[in-house]
Amino acid sequence: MRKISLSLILISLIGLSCTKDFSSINTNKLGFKFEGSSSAVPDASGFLPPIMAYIYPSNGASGVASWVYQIQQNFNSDIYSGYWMMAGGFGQGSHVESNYYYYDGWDSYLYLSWSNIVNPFLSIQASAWAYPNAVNQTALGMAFTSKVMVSVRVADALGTLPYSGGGTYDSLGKIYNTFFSELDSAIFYLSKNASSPITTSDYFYGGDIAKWITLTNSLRLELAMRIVKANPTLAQAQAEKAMATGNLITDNSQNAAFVPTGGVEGALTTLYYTWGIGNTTPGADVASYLVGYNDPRLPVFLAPTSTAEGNTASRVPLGGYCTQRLGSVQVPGDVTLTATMFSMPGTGILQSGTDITAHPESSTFFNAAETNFLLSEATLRGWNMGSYTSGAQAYYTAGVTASMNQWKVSIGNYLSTSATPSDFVDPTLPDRDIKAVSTCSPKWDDATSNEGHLEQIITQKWISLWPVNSPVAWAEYRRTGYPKLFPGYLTAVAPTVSWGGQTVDNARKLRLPNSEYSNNTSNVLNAVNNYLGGTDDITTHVWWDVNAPNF
Amino acid sequence: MICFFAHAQNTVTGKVTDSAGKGLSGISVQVKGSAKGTFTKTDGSFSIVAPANATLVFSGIGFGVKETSLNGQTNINVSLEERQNELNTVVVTALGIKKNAKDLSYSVQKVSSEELTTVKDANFTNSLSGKASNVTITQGSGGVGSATNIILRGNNSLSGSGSPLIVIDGIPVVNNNSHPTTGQAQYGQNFLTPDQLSTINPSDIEEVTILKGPTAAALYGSQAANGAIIVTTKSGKDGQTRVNLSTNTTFQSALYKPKMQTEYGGSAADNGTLSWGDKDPNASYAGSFYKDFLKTGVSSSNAVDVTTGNKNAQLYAAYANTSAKGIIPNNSLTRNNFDLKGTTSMFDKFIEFTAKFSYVNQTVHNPLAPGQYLNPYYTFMTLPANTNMSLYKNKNNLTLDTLPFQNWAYPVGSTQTDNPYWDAYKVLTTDNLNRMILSGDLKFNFTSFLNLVIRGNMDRTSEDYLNEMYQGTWTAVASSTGGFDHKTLQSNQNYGDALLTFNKNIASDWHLTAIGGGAIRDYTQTGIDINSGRNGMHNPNVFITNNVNFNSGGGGSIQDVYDRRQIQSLFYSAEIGFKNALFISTTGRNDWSSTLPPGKNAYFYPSVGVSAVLTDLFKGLYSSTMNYLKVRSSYTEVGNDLPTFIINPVSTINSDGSVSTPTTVIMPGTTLKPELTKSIEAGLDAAFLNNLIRFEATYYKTNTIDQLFTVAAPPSSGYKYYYVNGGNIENKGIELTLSVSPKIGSVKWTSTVNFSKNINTVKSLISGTNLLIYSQLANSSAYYQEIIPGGSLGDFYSTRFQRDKGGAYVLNSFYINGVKQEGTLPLVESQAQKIGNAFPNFLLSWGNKFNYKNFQLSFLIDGHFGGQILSLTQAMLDYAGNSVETAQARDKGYVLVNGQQVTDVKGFYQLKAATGGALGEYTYSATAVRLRELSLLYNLPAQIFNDSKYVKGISIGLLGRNLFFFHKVAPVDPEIVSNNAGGLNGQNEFLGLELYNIPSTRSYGFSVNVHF
Repeated sequence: MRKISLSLILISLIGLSCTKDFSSINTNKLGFKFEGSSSAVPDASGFLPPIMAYIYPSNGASGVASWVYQIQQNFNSDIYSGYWMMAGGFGQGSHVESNYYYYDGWDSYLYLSWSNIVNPFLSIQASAWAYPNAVNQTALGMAFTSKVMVSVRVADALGTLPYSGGGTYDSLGKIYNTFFSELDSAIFYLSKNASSPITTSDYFYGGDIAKWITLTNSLRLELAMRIVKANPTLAQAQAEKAMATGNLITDNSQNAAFVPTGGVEGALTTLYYTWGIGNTTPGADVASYLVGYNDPRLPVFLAPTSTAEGNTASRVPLGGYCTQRLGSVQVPGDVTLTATMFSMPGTGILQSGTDITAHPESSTFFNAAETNFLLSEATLRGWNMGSYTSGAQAYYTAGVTASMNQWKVSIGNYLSTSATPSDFVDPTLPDRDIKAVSTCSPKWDDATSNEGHLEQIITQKWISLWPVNSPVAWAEYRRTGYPKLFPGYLTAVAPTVSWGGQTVDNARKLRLPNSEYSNNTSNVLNAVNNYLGGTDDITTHVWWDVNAPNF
Repeated sequence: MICFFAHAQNTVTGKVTDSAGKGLSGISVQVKGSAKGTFTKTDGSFSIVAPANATLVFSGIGFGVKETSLNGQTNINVSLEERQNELNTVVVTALGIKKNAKDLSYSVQKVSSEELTTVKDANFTNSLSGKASNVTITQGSGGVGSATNIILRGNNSLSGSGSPLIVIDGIPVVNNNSHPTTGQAQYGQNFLTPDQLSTINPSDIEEVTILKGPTAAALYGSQAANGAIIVTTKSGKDGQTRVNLSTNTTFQSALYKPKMQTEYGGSAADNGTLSWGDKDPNASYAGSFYKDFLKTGVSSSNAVDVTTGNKNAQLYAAYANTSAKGIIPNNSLTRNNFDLKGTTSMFDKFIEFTAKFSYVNQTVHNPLAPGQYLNPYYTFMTLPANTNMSLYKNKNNLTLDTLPFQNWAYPVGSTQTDNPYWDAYKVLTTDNLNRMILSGDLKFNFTSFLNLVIRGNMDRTSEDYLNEMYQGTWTAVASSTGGFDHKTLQSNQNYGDALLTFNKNIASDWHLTAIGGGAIRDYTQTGIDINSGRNGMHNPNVFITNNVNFNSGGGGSIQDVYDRRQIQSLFYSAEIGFKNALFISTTGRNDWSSTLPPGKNAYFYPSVGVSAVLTDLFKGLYSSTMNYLKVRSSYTEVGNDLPTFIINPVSTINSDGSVSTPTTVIMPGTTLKPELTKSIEAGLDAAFLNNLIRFEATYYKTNTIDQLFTVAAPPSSGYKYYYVNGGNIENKGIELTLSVSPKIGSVKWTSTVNFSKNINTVKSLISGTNLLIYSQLANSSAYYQEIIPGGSLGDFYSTRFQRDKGGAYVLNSFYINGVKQEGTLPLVESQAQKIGNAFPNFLLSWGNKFNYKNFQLSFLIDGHFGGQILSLTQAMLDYAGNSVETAQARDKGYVLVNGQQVTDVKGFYQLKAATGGALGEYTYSATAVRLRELSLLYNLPAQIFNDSKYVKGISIGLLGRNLFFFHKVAPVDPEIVSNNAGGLNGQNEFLGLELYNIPSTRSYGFSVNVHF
């Protein structure tokens, strides 16, 4: 035993003296770590793309997988806004979102994606505090605005989020308050440095700080209008604050389009072309409004399909602009649809083999048209317009014109036409045909009430936000009821408004993910009870979605 | 040797021999009533100083005890009777320490070389199946070259690997798979190359010892918490030169085929995929898919080994070549093994030195990954039955003239399928492995009772993985110009230990074996992964790095691979034996691991055990009826360190220059500690009727606490997950082995039954969490594992059709244009229910061997009883209208739902089989009983070789593996499930899920062995 002890001591001397290397052994040499604050870096701008990428998750931008867009946006706001439709059941039969079924495997992604942006944001914040140089402060300003851009669509879809920290959920009202103060912070940091120290990491403006300030002001106006029925006082105050700057996106040169450096394939290109067969088709409402209006943007948005392309049904409706109604997926006894039955994208939007750089107008997330429509509505509401005093009709006209210009089409006599939306004709099944649900025209109707004007404004805004800004389109539809959209054909839940009427209760929110119900049970149940009125399903209205007159 | 001088003492010399007169080494020679004693040398001779009137006691492992009075004699020759078959084997235990089986306080099971090599498999690991109790071998499902999973005594860890440690000649080796999964499981494309245990040349193996519980492996520390598989390789022998030649050829074919309908073809409505069209005489093509596509696999191995040596130096050299072609076209494996082992002793055995060099070169081509993508088997299940494959199978004509497209009848990517021959010939993977292990073992025999062993090895593996996807590969998987992924990995383990062993009678009847030592293990992995990504090739079909387009966003990427771990250890083991019949042992080990937090990086774990050979301890118990009875019990703790780097999260850089911060960190306010496994075990070993019957029984209970959990972090924290310790997973069970070896006339029959039952229970999870969702399929309720206290790790959940209390379906209702429709189809449950548990209730195998003259016949029946699997293969056959059931329903024109005839047959099956549908309906019992092995060997009569100068013997054999099922319920082989993304490396993911796996194989063939 004596010898054993000796050897133990001997070996322990050798052994123990070595453990001081453990820290370096246990450090992953493929990453980097700065002492002090774990995430602070002298140049934090590299953390911007991981936030911005979730505004329009496209193929490979900042490492975001190509399929994220489909389940984060295409299977919910894209279809609930009437823009697009699912091209099939994707192995789920009829149990898919477009039939109002909740499928956690896809729908939870909006929430899961959102969690990806918080960490890079905190890293930028830590860096700006630890290394308060021009790059980091500017990056923090951009990060605040980008964070709100991503978060607002998630908060609007879910109705609540654990936004302020911990696992506790916040009410949407509190979250909007935070959004506004975050936009204040954005302006504060963006205003600190006049030069443009960031170029390659800015997917929107290539480092143009002035444009970021304009975007941030415009975003404030948009968010203010969203809550006008839920908190009119705050809405008015924030809108007036935005308008008082006199610095809003009113010209297409100021539009915020997602254009990553190096160029990536847009998510729509991936859906339409890269995956080889239709993953998405245009929505019926698009054809109804744009064909009915003979809209100059239609040939740019979509290309008509021809009868020859394997169309088993003989119906080629609406001048070949074949689209699908919500709820058309895998109806029992149905003729199965084939991709070639539907309209492909027109020349204006993302095309096969091209990257976003070639079509920035189809990855636009804030445009001059939207601001003009917001100003038009603000005028109707009688708010203090600051320097924006041209009047509701003038801003409506400016909005439509800006959109035509953005898509490089001639407006012609569009603003004097009294055309109304077309009835919908399904390419295969007469049972799905439906009469137009709106009689709204592009021509500004002097005789009508504010309500009638609002329908015109929001309907045109809806057209101008196409093709990828469906989160805003869906939110505006829920807030105002416009544009009037076709009801779902086959739905899992009963419509709450009578079917013969002009409005139907379309999808109002996404359910919170199962993982939250499992992992964060008590907080979720509290949130459902306190902020969602006790139910959490597709018929539940979120805080600002108030069942009350618009005026 | 130590001598004792006293008055009236003589130096007594002599020789101890066995009944045949051969000298016996290592026999204890003791002066009765004193502590004096010695052991015999290799030739059986001994020399001891003893009083003239003393009585000497001779005893040895496996032999009876003999007492001889000296009566003044100074030369004594003793012949010891072998105690017939007394379970007296020497087994190799932790750190290569040889122990008598009867000393052990825990259960070990030995598998001999013969058992492993009679019926060879290209993957040696597969041969362990059914040879020992409580060993679960899960075969790779991707054809030859896919990995195998071993679990001993049930899964116990939530986060880490459940695989046992692999030890070769006393030294742990690296046994990791190199391609961990990245994608979502159901899409596949994740396959693992063979684990490194399977690259061993089976012919080199002298024996394999399976140490099932942590008890057995306590001295190895963390890595052995799941048990250990200890391989001892052959050495050269003193004596004449011997040469062995063996050749072994087997053929493989699919063990089963899914039953497919041959009446209905496809329709344009489904984009040409699926078989929901009209009746079509050409639907008979369906039956030929398998016949045409699946080939007869051939696996052959040729091995030669040479042993030579004299008293002072011995050499063993071996070469083996294995080549196998899988049942899938273009899938193959070739392997070359070289082994050289030299042993030498100097200064009258004062120094013994062993050096060993092993080199393996292995190339695997195109194993398949289960899942939907690029899986020909999946394509076959979804194809219209009237597809004339002969138009698309010419491998020289897989591309059309318009280059970027496959020659395929259907839109590529529709229902995630493409031309299966394209998958085989135009989506190529090559995995080339070079492994070199250099080890040395230096032993100093200071005295007969004290020695020092210093050992070390360098284990170098370099692996080159290449994935080439030709232009035309489905663009969801590759870019429009194809795809390229080249990964090179070097792993490097240096291990060294030193053991000082004291082994002596310390008093009359008392024996002490004590070992103290230390070890250091350092593992590094480095590598580079060059991936073209989705947009990333300049020119199609040129698979070199220069051709990868790194410029465009979303294109190519180059990533480094890095991993590093160091563990330093001190340990001891002490065992006191009383009368060579009662043994009390204790071990302790302290590890310092680089992966643990600084200042808290040390952890200690002990074991204690006792074993008593009652038939030796109480002589009265021994009789010819009861030859042997031993009872044993032990308690062990084993610690397990953390995954590398998790306590030091760092930010990483993406290929486009953007930065990603870590997504998982330690839960704020907590410090991570090592996982701890506590195990208690008790058993008895007995032999009856002159060893005609042997019986072993073990009960064990193992609790693993402080497991590493990954829990969802609040998103607003900026992190996705937190690491935290907690939980308690319990495995308890029994293992029984019964063998009889009667001799009936001139037939010698050995029959062994192994039975084992393991119960896995989740006793608790971390505080604040009472539920963990694991390994969700498509992040949905289609399949997931839910872990709740009181449940089991193997529980899995899915949705089925809703049924009312009477068992009738609840029907689906929905709204069409706002009008409520009472549906005719069943409603799918909105919440998944527990539908099964992947773990078997018990395992039972029955092995038999008959020796008659020069013939040896053996067979092994292996049964897994209980447990469930969820078969996506059967679900997809239904979904696609390719199952026989769907054709029968269409022939009738309806399916019965609650007794009503529902004519929407397609709607019914597509609802049932959709991923978000009632997949749980495809749950089957995993019970299967199969003829695992059958072999007939014939040794040519010895007299034939009397005249031969060189050839000493020839044996030939016929053999078969996995020949047929005596009983099987599931439509697939339940043994190869869950072998895709999870279930490998012992991870507890996707347990019980069968993901369009390629059928398992039956093999049959012959072997020839020639001895020179």
